[in-house]
Amino acid sequence: MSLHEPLLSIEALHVHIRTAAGIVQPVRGIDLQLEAGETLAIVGESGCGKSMTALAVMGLLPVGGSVAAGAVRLSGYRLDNLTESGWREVRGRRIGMVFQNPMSAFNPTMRIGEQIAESLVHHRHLDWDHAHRRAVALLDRMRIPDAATRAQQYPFQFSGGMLQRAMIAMALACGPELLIADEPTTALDVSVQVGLLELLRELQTETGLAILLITHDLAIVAEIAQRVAVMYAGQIVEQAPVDALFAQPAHPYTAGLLQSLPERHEGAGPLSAIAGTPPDLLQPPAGCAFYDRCPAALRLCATAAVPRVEISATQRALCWLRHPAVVGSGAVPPLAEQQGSES
Amino acid sequence: MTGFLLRRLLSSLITIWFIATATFFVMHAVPGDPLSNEKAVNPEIRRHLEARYGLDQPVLTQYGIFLRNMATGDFGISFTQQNRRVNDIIREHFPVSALLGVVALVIATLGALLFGALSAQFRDRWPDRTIMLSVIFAISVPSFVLAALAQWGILSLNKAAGFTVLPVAGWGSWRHLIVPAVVLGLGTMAYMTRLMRSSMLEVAQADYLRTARAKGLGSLRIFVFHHMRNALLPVVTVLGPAIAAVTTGGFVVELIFSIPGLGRYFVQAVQQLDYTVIMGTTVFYGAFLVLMVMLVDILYGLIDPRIRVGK
Repeated sequence: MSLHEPLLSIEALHVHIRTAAGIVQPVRGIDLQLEAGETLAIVGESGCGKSMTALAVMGLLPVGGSVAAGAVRLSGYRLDNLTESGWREVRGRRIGMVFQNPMSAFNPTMRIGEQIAESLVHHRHLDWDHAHRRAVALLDRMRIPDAATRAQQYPFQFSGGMLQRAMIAMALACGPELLIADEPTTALDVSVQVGLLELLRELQTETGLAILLITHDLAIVAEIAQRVAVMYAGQIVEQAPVDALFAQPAHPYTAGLLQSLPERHEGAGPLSAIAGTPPDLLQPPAGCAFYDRCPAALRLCATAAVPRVEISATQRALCWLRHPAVVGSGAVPPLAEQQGSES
Repeated sequence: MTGFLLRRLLSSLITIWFIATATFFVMHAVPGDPLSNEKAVNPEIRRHLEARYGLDQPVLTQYGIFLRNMATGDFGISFTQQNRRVNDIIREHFPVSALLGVVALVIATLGALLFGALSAQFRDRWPDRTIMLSVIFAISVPSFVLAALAQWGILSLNKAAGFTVLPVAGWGSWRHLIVPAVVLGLGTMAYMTRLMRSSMLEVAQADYLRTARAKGLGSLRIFVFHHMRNALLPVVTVLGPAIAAVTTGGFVVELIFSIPGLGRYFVQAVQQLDYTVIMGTTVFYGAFLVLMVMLVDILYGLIDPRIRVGK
């Protein structure tokens, strides 16, 4: 351990949600670090626990949800055991959050300017006049034309792309160090997506903001992130710098995701997809969660707890196939060949 | 906004005309007439009376006269009460009904907001269960039973206190008003409480409420400006029907508590087939309700910008 504290540190985080059917475990022991000014993307399919991770960092888990084990720290300051009033000091002020669907994430009966200004009034103790002027300046900074008029309008008068910009303005109003963006571009047109990502990158270089990006879209990851964490069934199955992940995926699930990208598809024929469905998180499997769908699974994968293997200083995977003992035995051909012979 | 108002005004006038027409023809379709109450009417006298009141004219001619009088605000003279103009009956007794109705509506609305928000906040816990049980009671028990129960309650209270805490019936001071108003508003309050509760629960799930929490705002601000304000919208829409319920419910409550409101005259007029009073009061009530519903629409626009502001 060094003396250096990362901006955000998630340690062995477990999230449980009590439901009528039993306890669901959407997050099962994940470790993540995020440095100031860095962009980390969490990717994975729906239900893999990426949004729950984000909500746990914000202390906004749904009813019945709780952090069952592990810790979340912001600059070394423990968040997961905060009281509600403690959380209010963190949310909006130190961590801003941008949600998936801008159309429903704004209060429909309040003017956009007021929704931005109320954060400033609450956290920065500005008077309303001053806060409104700041809100207009923020909207202007997000390249919303005619910001002064726009601030007086209601959400239904905005387009989706503009609302998402306004939401970023709202999330960044009080100058947080960390921005959590949960599928920020999913509800937007592709042409609008690009502009939004550019804006985020620009803001990042300007303010040294760290971004935790939650997405299922690998194209966006390639566009904006420096590091990627691939989540599957509540676990991070691979973590690597973007280039390394795209060039040499270490986990069969990552390899499968990359293969199903249309851009990487060669020749005619249907796009390849990963067969099967993720396991039931009411009763997570003892061995590897990807066992049923893995093209290269070994017998021990079904039952033995999966080891975390350091591929390099910056890349690690949760997979038996990369374990020195297995690789050394010569039982497994390199991953690329397996994927090739699969089709 | 002006265009909206003009359109509303026009459709209101059409509605009122429709109410007047329907009332007129329904009244004439009912067997008997105001004069058939008189015992052993000599056919000669009867003919004279009919001529006197214009009842010997063809129905369409009568309809024309009726519409013309209506348009000038003249509701005619009562058939059964000596020398009383319908306009005077309305002028004297409507303010009493209106005061009772307004107080009942205010009690109902405030109560519904309070209890609805409370039961949503304590969902599935004892405050919620208590309130929801009372709501079922208040919706299912008819107002004349509630009125009788209330009077029995007042009697016991007065007996226990040894002096008249609240009068059992009559009219004159706020103490006469309070119990009838509660009885009158209770059903509406119960209905609106349910609505407020489900609306609060629905908004509690809304994305924008999570956004507000993600901004770290204080819980009071979130509750009032993000939660309550949006939950009010569906409740405001039923204010129109609620006014109707309170107005018509007032007939029975006025009768039981001996309140000299318009309802009593209306019921009496129906029993005696007093054409002018029935048609006058019906058209008047109809116009009043249409006006109220229009006001509610305007109020709705004030709360919901999506209606007030054009794109």
